[in-house]
Amino acid sequence: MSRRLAAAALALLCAGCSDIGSPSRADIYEWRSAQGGDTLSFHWPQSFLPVRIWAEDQHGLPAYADSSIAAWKPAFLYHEWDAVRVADSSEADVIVRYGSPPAGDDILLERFALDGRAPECQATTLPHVDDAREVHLPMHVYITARFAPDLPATQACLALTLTHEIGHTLGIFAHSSHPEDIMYGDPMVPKPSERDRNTAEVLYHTPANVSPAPRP
Amino acid sequence: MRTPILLVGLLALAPAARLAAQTDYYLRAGATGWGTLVHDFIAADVDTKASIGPLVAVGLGHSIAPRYRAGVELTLSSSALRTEYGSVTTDLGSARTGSALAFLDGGVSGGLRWQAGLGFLHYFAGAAGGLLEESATRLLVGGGLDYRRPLLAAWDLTVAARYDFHRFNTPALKAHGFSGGQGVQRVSLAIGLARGHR
Repeated sequence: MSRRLAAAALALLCAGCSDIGSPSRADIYEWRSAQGGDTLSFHWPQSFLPVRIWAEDQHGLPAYADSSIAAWKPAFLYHEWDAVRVADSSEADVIVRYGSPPAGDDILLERFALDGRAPECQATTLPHVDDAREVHLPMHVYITARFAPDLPATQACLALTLTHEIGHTLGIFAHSSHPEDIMYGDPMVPKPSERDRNTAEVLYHTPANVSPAPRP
Repeated sequence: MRTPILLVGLLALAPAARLAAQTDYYLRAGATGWGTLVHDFIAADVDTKASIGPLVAVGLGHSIAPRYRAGVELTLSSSALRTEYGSVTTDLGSARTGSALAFLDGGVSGGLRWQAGLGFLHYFAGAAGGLLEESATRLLVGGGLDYRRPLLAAWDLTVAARYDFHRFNTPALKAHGFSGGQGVQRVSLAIGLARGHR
């Protein structure tokens, strides 16, 4: 009887010690940017969170910024990344404007929405990385519609494109080769896929060699 | 007419009085320490832990044999949640729990008694987007020791040490692909007052 009790107690103790089964997160894509033979890896340190995003009040961009933040947040189970939209652009870490980017020597993480099923729109994220491997703040995102921006289909294009660009600003400096991912070069899906989420989470647990410059 | 009513009343009260004489009640306050809530691996170890936090417990026990009692204990606790990986620590809000444990206890010696029980631990829903965005209820197994000594005419001082464990999982973890459950061990120490059967 006492042996059975001891065995039962041992079994309970073992059950109390075992770990939960973690997801593999093996299905990811390359998020780092290869620039001139160098590989740049960036993520926001905890001290910068929440990242402050300002969106120009044009064609619904503030609402799309909110939905983009909401789309990415669930990827971060341990609150590795967080963002809020701010009302004053002078406080922002990321500025989203409606329009085309100015010419410059920034790294261009550019994509063009050429999906035939959606109206065309395009966007560019400009993380300016200097020789000290610091990203100058604020980061700039430019987004434009090629046709009437207030058409429902164009609005849908702007929404998913901004989610794609917010993915760049959080540190995914490359494109996925899978069309079902929001970070595909020509995205067609409205929100991050499981592979997008895995990639984002893994990048925040991988040492970065680029950091944000101090806030102005 | 009054006499039958009085007799019925006395008959009704007698078991209640006998029950009260064999039942005790207690209220305790203390602290709970937790083992790791989630052990994960993302390029390196990722551990989510709960801090030592306050707890309150109320319970009642009823004699079922000369040396044994059966009862129910209810507890509430709250602890801060944090995740650690590398040199980074992130704040995940708090874990607020309530538990109900049906227990059996027996005398050891003097005012010392053992206790063992089975019940449920409920995690109340927390902040949006976190591990505990939705509530979760888990099976709880626990045991411990109680020490009790007279303090006042009707009140005893009681000190309790408890150990319990459960397997932790939540809808948010399942949505991220976690399976099974993390074995979570908790220990607590509480002090309070008890009244009733000695």
